[in-house]
Amino acid sequence: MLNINGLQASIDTDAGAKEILKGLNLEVKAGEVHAIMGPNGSGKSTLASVLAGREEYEVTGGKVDFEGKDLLELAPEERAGEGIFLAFQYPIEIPGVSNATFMKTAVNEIRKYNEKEELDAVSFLKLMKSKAAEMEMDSSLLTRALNEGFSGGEKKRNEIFQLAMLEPKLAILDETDSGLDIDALKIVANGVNRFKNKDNAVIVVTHYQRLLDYIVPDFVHVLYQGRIVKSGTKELALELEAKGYDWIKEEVNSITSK
Amino acid sequence: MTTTLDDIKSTFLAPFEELAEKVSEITNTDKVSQGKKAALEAIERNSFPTIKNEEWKFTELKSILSNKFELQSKEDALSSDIDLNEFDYFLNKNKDLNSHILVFINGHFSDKHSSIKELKGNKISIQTLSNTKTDNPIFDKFERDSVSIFSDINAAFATDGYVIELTDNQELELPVFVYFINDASQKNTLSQVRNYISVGENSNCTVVENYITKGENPNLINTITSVNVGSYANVKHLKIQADAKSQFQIGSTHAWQADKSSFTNTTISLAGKLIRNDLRIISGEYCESFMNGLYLLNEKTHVDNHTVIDHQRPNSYSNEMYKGVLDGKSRAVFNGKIFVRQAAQKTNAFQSNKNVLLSDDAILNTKPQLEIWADDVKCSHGATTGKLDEEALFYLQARGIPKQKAKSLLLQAFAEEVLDSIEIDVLREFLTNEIENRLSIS
Repeated sequence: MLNINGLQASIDTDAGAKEILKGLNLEVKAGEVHAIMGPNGSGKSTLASVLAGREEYEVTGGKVDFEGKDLLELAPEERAGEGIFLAFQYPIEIPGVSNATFMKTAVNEIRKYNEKEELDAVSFLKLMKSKAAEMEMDSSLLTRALNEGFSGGEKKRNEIFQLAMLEPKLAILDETDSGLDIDALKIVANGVNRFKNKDNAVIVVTHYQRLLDYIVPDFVHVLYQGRIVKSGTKELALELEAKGYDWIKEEVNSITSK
Repeated sequence: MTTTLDDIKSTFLAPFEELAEKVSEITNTDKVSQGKKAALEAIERNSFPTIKNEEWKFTELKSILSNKFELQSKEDALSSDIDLNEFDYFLNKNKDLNSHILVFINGHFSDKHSSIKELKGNKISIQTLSNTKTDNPIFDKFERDSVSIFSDINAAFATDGYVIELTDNQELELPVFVYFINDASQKNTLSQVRNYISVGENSNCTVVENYITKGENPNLINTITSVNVGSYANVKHLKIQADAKSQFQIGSTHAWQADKSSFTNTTISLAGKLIRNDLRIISGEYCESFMNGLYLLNEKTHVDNHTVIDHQRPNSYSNEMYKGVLDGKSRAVFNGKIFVRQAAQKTNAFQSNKNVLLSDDAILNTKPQLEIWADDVKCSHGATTGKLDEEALFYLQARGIPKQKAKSLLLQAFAEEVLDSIEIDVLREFLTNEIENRLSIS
């Protein structure tokens, strides 16, 4: 489904371009859940942003193939149309645009992109209500302005509600667990688990292991200094939880210094 | 040969020569007649403001004053065959809009285009200025208030206008939709209307002024609307400047609010060459005043909003919200003055002016001006200017919404706060659509 090959990306800073991803490789197949872990500043969120098409990052090398298409050639909305979904670490508040209007526009724009007929108001409402109920979302959140005044937990829940509505092929969750209490974490994780099936895939970007208790990964990768330096199964996440990241850093540094 | 300010003035005033003579010969002693004479004298004394004048610093009148305008006689104005339905902005096309309709063409009232629904009794009247005797006591309620020489020219020479009067405890159920049409298809047109709204105690009404142009010749409309709001009365006055690409507009609205009254002015500017709106409100005790503005400009449209809320008595509330979206080489000027006089303790006055610039060539000049003599008041003001929020755009795009549509959504959301305050559904929906169309093209 997703094939990342030698991906390099940098961001403009006051001190000039700073390279963050330095040749990253990753393959994700349908039906898989991948966790990307790593210490702060290793490039986890950058990876998520680059895949979604955030313009601040300049891709300086490498390729990303998504279902046979060159993902890097596509505008963010086209990537969404193709089936990429990024659950934001910090969902944006948009005053004046109601959650429902936003969601209806998004659903129908993606349907249009895929040459499907747009949903009429009735079927849309039905779909929205059932998905909102699954996420245990208060119905007032649907009529309110998008994310405006939502609590941290409500915002994250709203992200997963959008995931359920849009049913993408690949969901990238960027630190979705940050700022969530354990109850909200479970609701979010359940939402992701309901979404998951053999035809789609999930990339979970997280700093901590606790989310992976609920969303069980098939593979765990450690991102450090812009590269994936270690890959394993869910046991790797537990090891990282127990030992921290220092041993990985040492391992990498001892290799690079040789 | 250089053109002096005097030359400009005499060129502009040339069409009024005959009228000026008539005014100078007026012997009536009523307030209106004497006001005309006073205005005529003021015209002689004053000159057109230049950018050296603080109040006109960013609005140069050269583009207006370099034209030679003509006045049209009533016969000529009404002889042209205007089909209102040809105008997109003739909102009464929409059958859901139930309102009184007043139509003025080139400053003259057009009876055949207008329709006033039946009014019960004689407590409410919707009239024209030309049909109202100058000694009608209604005029005694209004003070002369001149913003510039344009006010004086209007006061001396306005051809017609509307006069709406409600005595005490009246409700004008349907809004009055007034259409000021400048027909500039043949000639450079100058029209002048003078309007009065007088609302007695505990009465209320809504008046919507719509500005429309036909034809491409330069044309100017110079207006004054004076509003007298009685105690416990509620008046809503709207100015919709939406379809007048070739139009210059100089207009002022003056409202005097008696104690415990409410007044709302909403000014929506979507198209025009150069528009200058002056809004002045004098508020009594326990009054509410709302000033809502939205300007959505492109190309070289220039819109200048100058507003004044003068709190003269205690315990009043005013809220001003002006929002703008500027594209192309457009320019917007906002100057909002809040005066809180020494007697006006416990005043709450708020002002905000928010702008989104879509183009690097658009210019915005915004200036809040608070002058407060009382010490126990709550006042705030804020002005912001910026581009569309890139983070918000990306968020929408990441959900599959194309960039152009995302922009349009965000701008509509931005404008909606002002449009939401419009209670006439047909009008609000019309403007919402209009803005949606405009924003999806640009």
